[in-house]
Amino acid sequence: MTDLRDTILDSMRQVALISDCTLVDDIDDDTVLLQSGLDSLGFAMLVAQLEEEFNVDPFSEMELAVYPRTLGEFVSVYQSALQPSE
Amino acid sequence: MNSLLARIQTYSGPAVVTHDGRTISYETLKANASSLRETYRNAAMDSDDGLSGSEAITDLAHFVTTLLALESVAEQITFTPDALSYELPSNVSRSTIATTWFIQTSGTTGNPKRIAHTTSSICSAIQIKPHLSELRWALTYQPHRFAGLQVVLQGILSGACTIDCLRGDIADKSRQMLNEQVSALSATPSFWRQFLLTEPSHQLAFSRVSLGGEIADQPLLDALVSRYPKAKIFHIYASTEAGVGFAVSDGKAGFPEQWLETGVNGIRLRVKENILWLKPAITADTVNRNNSDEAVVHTDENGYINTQDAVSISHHRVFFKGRDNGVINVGGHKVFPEQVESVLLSAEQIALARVYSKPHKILGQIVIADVVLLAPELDEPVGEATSKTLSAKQIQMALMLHCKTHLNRADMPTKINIVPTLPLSDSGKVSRQ
Repeated sequence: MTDLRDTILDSMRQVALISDCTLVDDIDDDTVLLQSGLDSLGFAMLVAQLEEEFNVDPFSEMELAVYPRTLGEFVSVYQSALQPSE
Repeated sequence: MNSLLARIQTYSGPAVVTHDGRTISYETLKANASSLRETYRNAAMDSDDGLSGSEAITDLAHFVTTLLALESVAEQITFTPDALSYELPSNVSRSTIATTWFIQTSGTTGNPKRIAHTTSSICSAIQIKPHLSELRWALTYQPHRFAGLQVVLQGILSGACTIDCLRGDIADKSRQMLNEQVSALSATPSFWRQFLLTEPSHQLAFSRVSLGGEIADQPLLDALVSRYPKAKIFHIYASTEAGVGFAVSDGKAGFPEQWLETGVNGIRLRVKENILWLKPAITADTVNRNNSDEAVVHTDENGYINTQDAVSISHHRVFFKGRDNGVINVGGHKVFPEQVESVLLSAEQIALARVYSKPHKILGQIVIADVVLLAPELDEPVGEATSKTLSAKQIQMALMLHCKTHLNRADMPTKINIVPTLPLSDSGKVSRQ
C-alpha cells in the first residue's frame, strides 16, 4: 500500500513537472485530487504514466465518468485493479 | 494538343524498369502503345455503342503502355489499383479527343474522393528540359494515384527512365534503388525519414530530391541538404481537390509570405481564418463541372478553393500546421497532430513519429504519440519489456520536457510510446487512424 502510494506520488510529481502544474504541500490520503494542483489534463497524463508503470488503466475499464475524489480513493482503485495478479 | 504518345516520339533509350529488373526502351514502349491503340480503335469502330472495358495491369511497363495507348483515344480513363478502365466512343476518329482522367484520392484524412482531370491539368507541373532526360526516377508511389502518376508522367514526358521500386519493405526498396542507380526520388517526408536510415541511402547520389503529400519540416530538409549536397531539393504542395500545386526550392519549410500577394505558378493564394485558400489558373468552375455530380470542391465567391490546410505565419513565412479536418479535440482545445509530430521529430533522439487521438471520458480526446528512436535503439526490439528500463523511461521523460518547451500545454502528448517501427500507408504517409 505504501509502495503503491509512493509510486503514485512520484508519478504525480513527474507529471506536475511535465505539465506545468504545482502540487500542494503535504499531500495525504484525504487530499482532494482536484485540489492537489493537477488539473484534468494532468490527471490524464498521470493515468497514462501509471499505465506504463503497472500495465493497467483501471479507469478505461470502469463505468465511472469521474476520477475518485481523494488520493486515498485513487490509490485504492489501483490497489484493487492490481490485486488479482498479485 | 498533341497526344502523350506523340509528345515522346523523339525519345530513345531506357524508359521503364519493371520490378523484376526488365528494362523497356522508348522504342519498344512507343511501338507497343501504337499497336495497342490501333487495337482499341478498331474494336471501338466495330461496335455501335463504343467500347468500354478494363485492362488488368501486370507491371509498370504495361501500365505506361496502356496509358499511352488510351490517352487522347478514350473519353475517360479511370485509375484503380489493378486496372485501367476506359470508355471509347464508337465514332473514334484519327484526330485526338480530350480524355478525362478519373483518379481517386487516398482519403488519408477523410473519405476517398474521385477527382476528374484533363490531360493538361494533370501534366501542369511536369517539367521538360533536355538535362532531365538523364535522370533515373525511382517510383515508390502507386502509379494509379495522383502522386505516382506525377512521377510516371515526369519520367516519360521528359525522356527519363522510371524504375519500379514499389515492392517490399523500405530495405527492399532502397536496395532496388541502389541496384538501379536511381538519381531522382519523389516521396513523402515519412518515406524519406525511413529511407535516410537505410544503408543504400548513404551510397546513392541524388540529383533531384522531392517531397510531397505531407508537411516537410525543417530538420528533414536540413538532413537532406547535408546528405545530398549536390541535389536540387524541393518540397511540393499539392491540392488534389484543386488539381494544382507549387514547389518550394529554397530549402526552407513553408513558403514565402510574399506569395500571398504575388501568387505562384499562376495560382493565387489567400489565408482566411488560418486556412489556406487558393485560386488555380484554370477556374474552379471547370473543376466542378468535371466532377459533375460530386461537388467536392468548396469555392468562395471569388473563385478561391478551400484547401482545408491550416497555416500560421511567422518571420515572413507561411507554415503548414495540418489538415483542418484532422484536428484532435482535447477538452475543447484544437490540436494539430502534424504539429506535435514536427516538434517530436525535432528532438535528436527521434527518427519517426506518429501522433493520434484516443477517446477519453473527461477530456473527449487525448493526444498519444508513437515514436521510433534513432539507431542504435532501432536495431533492437524496443517493446513492452525495454520501455520499462530506466533508459527508455528517461528518454520518454526527456521527450516530454522537449514537448513542454515547444508546445502549448494542451498540445502535449499525454503519452509517448516507444515503438520498433511505424508502418506507412499505401500512399507513403504515416497513418493516424
